[in-house]
Amino acid sequence: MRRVVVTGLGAISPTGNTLDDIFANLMAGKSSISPVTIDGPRGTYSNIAGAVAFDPVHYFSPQKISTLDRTTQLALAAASAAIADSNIHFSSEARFQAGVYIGTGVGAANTWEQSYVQLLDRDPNRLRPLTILTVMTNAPASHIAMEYGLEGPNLTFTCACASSAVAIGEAYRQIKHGYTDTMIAGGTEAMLTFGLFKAWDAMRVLALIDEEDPSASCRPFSKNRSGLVLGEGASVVVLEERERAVARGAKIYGELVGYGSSNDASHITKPSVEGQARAMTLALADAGISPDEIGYINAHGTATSLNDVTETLAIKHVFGERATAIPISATKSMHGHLLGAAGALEFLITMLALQRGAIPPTAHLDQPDPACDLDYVANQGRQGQNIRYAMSNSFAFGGTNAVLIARS
Amino acid sequence: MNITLAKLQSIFAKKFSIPKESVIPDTSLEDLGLDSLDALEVFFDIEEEFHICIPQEREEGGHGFHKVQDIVDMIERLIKSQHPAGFLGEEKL
Repeated sequence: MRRVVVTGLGAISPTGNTLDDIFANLMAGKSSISPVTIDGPRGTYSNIAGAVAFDPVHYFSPQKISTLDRTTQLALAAASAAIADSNIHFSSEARFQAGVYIGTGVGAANTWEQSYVQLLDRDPNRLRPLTILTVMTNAPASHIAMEYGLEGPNLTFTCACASSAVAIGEAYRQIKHGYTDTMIAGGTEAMLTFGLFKAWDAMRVLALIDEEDPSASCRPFSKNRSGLVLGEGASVVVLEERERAVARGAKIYGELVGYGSSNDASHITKPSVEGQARAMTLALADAGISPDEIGYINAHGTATSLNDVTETLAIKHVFGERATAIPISATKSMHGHLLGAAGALEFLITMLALQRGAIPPTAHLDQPDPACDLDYVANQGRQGQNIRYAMSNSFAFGGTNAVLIARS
Repeated sequence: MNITLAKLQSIFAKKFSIPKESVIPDTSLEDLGLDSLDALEVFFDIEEEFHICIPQEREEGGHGFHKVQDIVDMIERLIKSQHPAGFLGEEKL
């Protein structure tokens, strides 16, 4: 039986661009959600978001920047960090056995928007020649493959908020089932644009801004929650077949042991308890463990009432009476919802929690929702936790549910 | 120096950080380290700079030029045909 270990982690995230910063900020309950102002064609738009501190000039030449959408820039930077962290080097032979699976919910939102503004507002005749190559949704995965010469399978997954959890889960299966030895997997999203914000506004699911403390506007599982907060970023992990990783003396964060994937097949946005529970149950079965063995859950926890109550019920459905004994945290309270990159960032956080024996809190949880009555690690992170198995949940518009389980 | 060549040198310098003195009539795009996608980008900037439209070529091999001088000749030919009144670049707009 081939086993799959995590040997590298990298992210460009609202809550930091290094593993130490990311985890320290989360453990301190420090939210990175802040006011943002976006330039639109006829003025500006203001809201709050989990934006990243990322200047592409530190990563790419000026010529290169104009040919890479922000999603690709973020993905390349996160992949570079993960590959450096894993200290992996690809021999010419190993490259055939190494693939790239990346998830993204929206794709190249910034370039699409700039292109339409150019075309409709400035000159109806002209778009930049490389527009197609910049906006294509598989550009992030392709550029990672080109950068490192990875000649194995290269796929892009898009299923809204579960995109990158699915990318990691499917990458795990590639190794487990013997198709590849190494996978670079994760997600990227950069959609803090005028048009996308307006579209989310129209759906009335974005959080109202907390006037006293905008950073506290995203409140999963809290009675006074008002919706989700958008974020951007990329998160990438290096997955390796265990024996090869051990043989090269790789640092091992933990083992990816279970993946469950399901669809609600009922409503485009309204989540279902059964669908979510099925994904968790499938992941537990894949891991070959009982529900009693899970010591931490990184929740999907978006801070919409539909998600939080449904996820709570689904966890109760799967874990029964033991549900109240499992620490659960919604780190979106601090980094926002990265959509197609959310699952990968939260899996990265889950791996750090396992490795460091510490559980980040759910921030801004002062008024628990009576319908959400589990242990959400309110406001205070917990150190000194000996976690054996941890679960990371990702549930999407469109009904896709993806659950990953890792072991320390 | 030919004003078309001087402007072309500025485009290459700005777009690809290629020193102006390297962009001489006898150099090829390959010599400058540019591929077919880079050429597309250069076309775009040339169209903006000279207010011309470079027509899409139907025959295999595109415009078939290899050297900087070929591009200069093409630009001057297109300016003549697309701006018969004779303006040269944006100064006269």
